[in-house]
Amino acid sequence: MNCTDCQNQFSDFIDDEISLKLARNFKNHIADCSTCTAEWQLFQQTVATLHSFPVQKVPAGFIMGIHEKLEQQPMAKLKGWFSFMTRHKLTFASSLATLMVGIIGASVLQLSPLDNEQTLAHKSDGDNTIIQAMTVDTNQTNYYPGTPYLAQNSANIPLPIPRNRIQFTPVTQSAPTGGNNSILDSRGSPNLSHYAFSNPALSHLGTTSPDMAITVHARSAAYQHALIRQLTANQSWQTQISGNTLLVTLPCNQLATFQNLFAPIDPHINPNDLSRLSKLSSASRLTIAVAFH
Amino acid sequence: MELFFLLAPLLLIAAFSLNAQDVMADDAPDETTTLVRAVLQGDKQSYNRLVLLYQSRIYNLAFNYVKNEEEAKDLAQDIFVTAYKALYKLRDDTKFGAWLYQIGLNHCRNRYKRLKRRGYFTNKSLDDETISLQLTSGETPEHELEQQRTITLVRDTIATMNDGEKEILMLRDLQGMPYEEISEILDIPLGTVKSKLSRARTSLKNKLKRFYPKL
Repeated sequence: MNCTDCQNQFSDFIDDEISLKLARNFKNHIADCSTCTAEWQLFQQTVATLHSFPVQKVPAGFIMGIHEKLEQQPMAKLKGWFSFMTRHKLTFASSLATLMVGIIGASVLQLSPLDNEQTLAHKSDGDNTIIQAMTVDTNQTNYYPGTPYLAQNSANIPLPIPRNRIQFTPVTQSAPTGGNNSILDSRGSPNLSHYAFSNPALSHLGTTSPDMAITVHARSAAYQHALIRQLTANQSWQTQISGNTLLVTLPCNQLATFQNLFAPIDPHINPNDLSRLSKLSSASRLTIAVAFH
Repeated sequence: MELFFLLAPLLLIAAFSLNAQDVMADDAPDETTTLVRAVLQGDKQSYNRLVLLYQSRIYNLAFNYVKNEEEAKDLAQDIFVTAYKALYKLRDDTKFGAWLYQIGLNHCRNRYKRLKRRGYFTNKSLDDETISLQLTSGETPEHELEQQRTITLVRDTIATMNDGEKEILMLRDLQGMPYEEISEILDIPLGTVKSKLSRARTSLKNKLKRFYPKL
């Protein structure tokens, strides 16, 4: 038996878990080897120290404490939960922060939907108007492949109106552009060609002479966008885009429908002109310029 | 010869009856098993008796882990509370002791980690170069003090060992459990218990070597 084998037998020998033959060899080696003898003495002393540990007395009221803990389980659970929260407060805080960011983000998106409307809001000042913004950015990423831009929307593809919780109250102005009493010719047909377009903001429309001009000062690009969609969605109306102005040609008998689109913003339209316009026959068509600012 | 034939049936009957008694004795449930079955049948008072049977061992296990009376008391109570609530999960009611120790060791490990994170354990005695480990006998105050210092030093040294070594030392050398029971509690083969115990004792001896007076 060498020293390593001998020292590996210390534990088994001290517990009397060793065969007689191994025990004899072990004793013989210990008797001959001073190193193993020293190690053996240390080993014995260590185990003896462990065995000398006193048995601790169980404190008084031990069982009562168990009963109390069993009765206090609901509170203990709550305490445990808070303890969990304390231990994982960083995780909890980050989760809460993520949730809050999500809610705020969703709210922002709800107020101002994505896509071109964000661009519209920024470009509505100055010469670059809503519709220009919508028509110019064709080189940008097409987020809705296959869906034409508003400028290409000659076929009046019906578009869904986005749900908008907040009602906006844009300021509108309307200006009668016709020649007052000369709106009907001798045959009762509309004769609108001689209407002089008096709104200088719409002077760039050139030869097109609208029967009426409405200027929309909307505070929300989303509302303007929705209004444009509604105007262009009607199959029986013809729309033409020019700069920041949408020219809508519609049958006279649908004037009320047209007005309803502006009902939420309560447009100030001259009652005299409206009454005259509404007298036109169903075959007659009106051209109304809607300018967005 | 005739006498043999006369006595043989009697001897056979006696042998069978002794054997039957042994079998009956083996089949008879011990007190722990009886109490566990009673608790499972709704007798809550029997759990008090179970606690009384095991409280000293579980409390000492907890004390050796956390080295503080109050913590050990709280920890041991938690172990019994957990065992009471989970008793219906005990698959073999004859193994309550080993099962209780498994719960106890899990609780001890978790509590020890939590307290250690809070800097609860200092193990200052390990930094004291003046301590000399020697077993003393006698009941004088000096002997008592020396014995206490030795125990504190060994406890602190055990605390620096890994969980596996620590637990096997506690179960075998501080609680005096037989190998078979340790094997059940730690769920390892008997041979592994012996080899792990040998390594743990040797490791402790080597750690304590510098504190022993020169031999």
